Amino acid sequence: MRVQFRAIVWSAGLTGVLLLAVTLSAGVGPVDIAPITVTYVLIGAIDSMIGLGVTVTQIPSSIQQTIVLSVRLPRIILAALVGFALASAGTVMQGFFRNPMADPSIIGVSSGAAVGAVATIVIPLQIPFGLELQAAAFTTAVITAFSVYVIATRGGQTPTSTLLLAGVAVQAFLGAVISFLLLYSGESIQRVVYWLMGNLGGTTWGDVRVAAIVVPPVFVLLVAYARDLNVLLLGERDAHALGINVTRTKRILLAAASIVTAAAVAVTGVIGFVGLIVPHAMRLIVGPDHRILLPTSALAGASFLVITDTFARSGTTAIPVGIITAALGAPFFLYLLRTNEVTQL
Amino acid sequence: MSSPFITIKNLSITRGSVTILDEVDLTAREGAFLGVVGPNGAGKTTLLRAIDGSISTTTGSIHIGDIAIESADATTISQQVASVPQDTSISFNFDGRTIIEMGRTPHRSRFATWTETDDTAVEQAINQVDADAFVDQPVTTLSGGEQQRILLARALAQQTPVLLLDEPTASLDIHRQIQTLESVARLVETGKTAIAAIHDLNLAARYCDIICLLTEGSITAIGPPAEVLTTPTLAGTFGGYPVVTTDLITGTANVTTLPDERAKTTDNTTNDQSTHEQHDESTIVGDSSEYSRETSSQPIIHIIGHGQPVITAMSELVAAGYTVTVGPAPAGSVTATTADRVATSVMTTPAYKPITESMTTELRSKIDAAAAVVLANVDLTKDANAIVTAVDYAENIITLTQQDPQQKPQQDATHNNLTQTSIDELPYSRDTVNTKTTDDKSIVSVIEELLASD
Repeated sequence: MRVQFRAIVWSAGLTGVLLLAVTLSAGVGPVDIAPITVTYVLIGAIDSMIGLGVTVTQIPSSIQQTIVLSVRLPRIILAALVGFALASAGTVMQGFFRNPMADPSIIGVSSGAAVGAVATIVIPLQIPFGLELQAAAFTTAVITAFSVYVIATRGGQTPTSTLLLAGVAVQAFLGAVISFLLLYSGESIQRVVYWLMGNLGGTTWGDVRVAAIVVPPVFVLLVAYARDLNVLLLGERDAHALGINVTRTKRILLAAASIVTAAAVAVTGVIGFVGLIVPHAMRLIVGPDHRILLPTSALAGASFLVITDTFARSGTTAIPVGIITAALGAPFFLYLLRTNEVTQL
Repeated sequence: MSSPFITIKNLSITRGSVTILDEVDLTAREGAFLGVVGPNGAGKTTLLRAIDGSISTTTGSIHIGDIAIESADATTISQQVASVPQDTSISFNFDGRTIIEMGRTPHRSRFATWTETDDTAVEQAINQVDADAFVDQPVTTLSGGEQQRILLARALAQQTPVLLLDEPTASLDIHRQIQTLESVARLVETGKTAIAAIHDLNLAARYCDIICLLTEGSITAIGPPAEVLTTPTLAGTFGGYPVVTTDLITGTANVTTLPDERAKTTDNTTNDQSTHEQHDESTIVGDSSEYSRETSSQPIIHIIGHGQPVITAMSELVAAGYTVTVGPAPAGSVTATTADRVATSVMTTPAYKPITESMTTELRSKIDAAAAVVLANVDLTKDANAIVTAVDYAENIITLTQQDPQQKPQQDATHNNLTQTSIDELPYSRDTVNTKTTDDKSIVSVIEELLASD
């Protein structure tokens, strides 16, 4: 009704913004391609995939098609997926912990992923897949999140404050492990630093596939729990009184948010700020109702990362996108803070 | 419906080595308004949380209708029990309506759409708490009282047979307290069963059918307010010297607690009694006069007079540990009924009748037994006989003069403060009588001085 209508309108608008951002971004690079040409390339590609039967009047050159479809698009789509994943996970974590400082990796997902990734880079160990770094990062990320949960659980109860502190402690410990690994990284230190800063360079369709398999289904699960998340915001006692199975719901939300984050971090490295700032910004705009906030944050996160990554790759030297997200995101957020009265989370 | 709807049997809750609730047995019939009263930390909130299943019980069972709370899932319980929490702070900036709509959660499956029924329930709840004016504003902009009404509406939108309220009046101003409890009382009339932890004993007395007195995790008294709210039961639980009178406006019990030394000496005896007699249909632990008699080692003070000054003097003296007798006072007057609850004994005269011969004899024996007689707001015509008896037989006479002229009650031609002069002007006087006025001092300190000098 009211809420669904608002959710649909906002989501449709933000999907439009995302499509625009993708189209414009695909035209930016060493070879400039006009947005209209990009549009033709995209329509043509979609047409050949599912056969819309649309004929475009102007056929782009095959070089332009290759640049857009094989070089730029994988990176742009991955940026969108990762932004989408981080922003939705951040929204869930902030609601779950009822804490404005919560971000997607608050229970150690990023640190866990970083240990796996750095270890794979530093330790000369070959795993017979093309995706050994991503697989290792994803695995250690999920193991870390699970461990933090187990550490914080006693007698079947997992108080969120304990979870938060356990997460902080485990992150500090893993930080030590990463620093130690860095000492022995030798020549691979540049790769390690690039990974730790969050980087979308060299993306292949393979990376996109990994993220595309994990992120959308888990996001659907999160959306299904948006109403429960709203009730959880009232406090666990109230949530129970309103018929929410608090323990189970918390586990599902935590697991889903952690998996989404792990998938994102595993393919791109630690991209900070997206999961922290986008949900806050959207909360200021659309309000705290997760039925609207979750999809809009996710879509806004996708656009945000597509745009910031366009800046990251358009300079003369490629800059890790994590630097841009923080450099652009922080001032924008400060602007929002100044123009809106932030009374509550 | 007289069969119990909520049945709590042998409920104990311990956390670590601390026993929060200790073998609580409690039943409530359908359509009852049960008030849980007791000092801070007595376990009121814990009891409510056990009933809505949000904390696990150590031993014992809780049934609502046929549903065993310990083994029921959250959804089942939330279709039976709605809770209004004590802490009304809401940290996220939802608007009131969104929060009330969350009350429909127990009745909706995950993917169900919003229905007419849901809409009706929400609208009805908003009307019941009279929240139309602010329901669409963000809750963080609402006052504490308004936030609480939103949470009450949320509980009503749950449409459960049982409503639990934890300190529903704690953050409200006096008018809102009454409004909130009035709306709960109306809901109870429509058949809901309400259990409320209430701090304010007078409000509990006014609105609850049954009051359950919780002391350190055990029920020490349960029954209708008039039977539970008595000086001995309350003193045993809360300490101090609680004086229970009848509120002149509502006609329900009104508890005023005086600072007290005597309650300390009797705490043990009262406690023992109450634990032995608990869980009866309605437990009454002694009555007030019995309670006072237990400590009759203190000097006896007799008070003659009418109205407010008598009641105040009597309460202060009782609280200070004196045994107080009062009279004569017209039967059924405020003085007589209050003295009946507070003082050790009260002599009453039939209304509109003068003192008879036998009463004079009785009065004389009271005056003989008393260490001092206090004349407070006496009626020079009606009380002439008693005053003369006092002057004839009393060892000490103290006339109460108003401490604050602004508080002088109904002063007219006949109700005068007896002055030193008026006693001196009596046609005769005994040399042995020691007369004194309180001037601006408290009656207790005057009597202390007087008896010390003896």
